[in-house]
Amino acid sequence: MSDNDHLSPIHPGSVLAVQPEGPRVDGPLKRVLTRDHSGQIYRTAFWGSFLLFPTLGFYQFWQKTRLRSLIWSSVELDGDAFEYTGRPMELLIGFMVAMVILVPLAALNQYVAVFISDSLVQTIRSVVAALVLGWLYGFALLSHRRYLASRTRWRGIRFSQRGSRVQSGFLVVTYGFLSVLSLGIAAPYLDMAYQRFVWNDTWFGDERFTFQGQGKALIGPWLACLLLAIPSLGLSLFYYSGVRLRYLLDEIRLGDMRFPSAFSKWMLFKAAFFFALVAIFSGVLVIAMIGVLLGLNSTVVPTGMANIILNVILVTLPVVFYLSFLRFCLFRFMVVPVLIETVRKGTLEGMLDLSSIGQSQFSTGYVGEGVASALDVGAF
Amino acid sequence: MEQLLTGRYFDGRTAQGRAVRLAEDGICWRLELEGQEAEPLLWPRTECRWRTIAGSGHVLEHHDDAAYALFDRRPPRAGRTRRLFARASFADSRRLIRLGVASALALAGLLALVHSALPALIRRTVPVDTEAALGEQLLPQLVIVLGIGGHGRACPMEGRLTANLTAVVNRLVLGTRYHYQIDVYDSPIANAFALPGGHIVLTTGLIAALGSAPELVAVLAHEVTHVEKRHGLTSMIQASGDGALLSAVFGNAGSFAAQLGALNYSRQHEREADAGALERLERAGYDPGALNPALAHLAAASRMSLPPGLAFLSTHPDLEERLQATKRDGETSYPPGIGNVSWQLLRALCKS
Ligand SMILES: [Zn+2]
Repeated sequence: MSDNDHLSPIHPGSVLAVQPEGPRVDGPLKRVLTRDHSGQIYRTAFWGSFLLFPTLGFYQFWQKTRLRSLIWSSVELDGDAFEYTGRPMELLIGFMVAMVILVPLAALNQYVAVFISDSLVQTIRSVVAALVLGWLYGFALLSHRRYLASRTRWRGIRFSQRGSRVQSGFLVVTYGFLSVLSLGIAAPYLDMAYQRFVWNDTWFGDERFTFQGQGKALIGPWLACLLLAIPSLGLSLFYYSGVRLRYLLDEIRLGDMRFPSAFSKWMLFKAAFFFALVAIFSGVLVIAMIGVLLGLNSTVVPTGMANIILNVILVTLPVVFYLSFLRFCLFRFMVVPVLIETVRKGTLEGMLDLSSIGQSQFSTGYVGEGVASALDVGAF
Repeated sequence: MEQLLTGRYFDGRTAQGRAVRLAEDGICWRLELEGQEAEPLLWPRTECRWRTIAGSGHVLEHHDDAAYALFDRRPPRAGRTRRLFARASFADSRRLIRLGVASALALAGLLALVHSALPALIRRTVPVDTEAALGEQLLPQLVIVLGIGGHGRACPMEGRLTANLTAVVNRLVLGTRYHYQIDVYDSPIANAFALPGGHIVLTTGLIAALGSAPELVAVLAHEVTHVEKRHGLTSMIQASGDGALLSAVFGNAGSFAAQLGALNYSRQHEREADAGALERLERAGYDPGALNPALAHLAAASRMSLPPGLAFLSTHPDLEERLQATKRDGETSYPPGIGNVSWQLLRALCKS
């Protein structure tokens, strides 16, 4: 055990737990991801998706927790993997707390929408609903990051997301409004402004991340993809997402360390294209299957209540099955491969003095994402 | 002392990892850190918990310390530590349990409020014309549920038949604030519905199943009671509240499920409608004794339209009770309300 192993534990090419002596070397780490959990990840994605309906959606908290811990633990730096320490109960209770807040709002909105026919009232209602929903979304975005960060640790040091969730809500409303006002053209500037707000308050222990990304670096690809959005049926936006993700990773810093990833800019586009193909193809199959089943039913049980009940069952079951399958495909062909590829092509550049980093003193909170999982922020 | 496992130890203060050997030492876990001359750590088992994290392995945590150790396996006797006690000594577990109970209670209270207290309050404030407009929104769903063909249109009726039915209904609901409309739809399913606001929907299946014209009058009396007591509106308000809840949990599929709920009356509503029907028939001078055979005929018809395997769907548990409650002695003679000519016209609807 050398004295300087705690000074420079992250070495290029190091996959060992403890690097023997040697000078601090700058340069890319050859492999960041070293543990292959993809089999377990895909099994969890499969069962989680198909158990969602039978368990009335409650299995999602267990699935999310398991997926996250499997994905986190497959990313390894210098011999130690990331750990996800969240628990399903935290998500479930966070969800219940969020429902206590959201249910009265949703019920109020529903009652006004259905039972008051005055058009002025309806206009006011939809404006207020949009503002409240936007604000909640911004609040949820930061809650989600805050929970994820607080439940992520490497070598016992926790991450944290600080900053005001209330402010995040107002930023999202303001930026959303400005983005609509500019017909979407200003979106990259506003997006990067929000990312600066978020990333400059993300911490590893007592070390702060910094991010100075600017919208002007993305405006070219954004405009091109926006123009091509309609002819490409929206798929060009996935190309833009790839460009954007690479830019984000290029610009995020922890101390002097950067985390660029060399994945193909087409990665997200290809994943989305493949997912869309699978979704459309299986959708057509399911519709054809429903047609055949309904036809069979009308010859076997031509009329009466039984016919109608059977018809409802014959339509509902394949649709539920199809939705479960789509959810699985979303994980199998988009979320998980994109994450794995991003990490696999990831490198570390620059130095980080680990000896100067201490534990995060930020309160971790003990409830899950709450509003975030109720509003479905974050794919998993 | 037996060496059990080797793993990684993190002190929770610095970003360093150390190899660690785990051993049992009386009531403690003993952690020997590699490359450290100092005393090994002794963690009392009751102050520790084991957690399994998928992908990462098994974590041994100490309750007043951010330090922990990570192992690939769990020692054989780890599970025998008093887990509940050990967990309760962790402040985060205690707070989690407390908050869980509180939020579950709050949520239950809220659901009760949305499902019963608010509908009771709101249904008094909805004006009649809004109610009628809402009721008409349910018609397309009814067309689907009843399996009505012919573009979902009502059977065309002769003027004298409409006049006869309207006169009967008006006698049943003297002084009403609703404007009633009666339509017959072509469907083999024997049923009648009262949409909020006064649109009453009968099926050809119902008319075929009933034994006589007074039975139809009794069915109409039952349906108008649903309208007058705003049962449909109450169900709709409940359904929209449930819809808000369900769609928050399950997305739009949830609110669709709740919409279907709007077509169902509760047992409470059915009992009220039966009692109200008897009262109205009596007051209007029609035969209250006809409600009982009408219910029996309806029940028989809906049983018959099901194959044997699905018959359980129609055995309504409180039908017996309803039949019992509507039993009347048929000594007095009453005017039929719907004359013979009208009755024949009704039975011939949608037949050409
Ligand atoms: Zn009824």
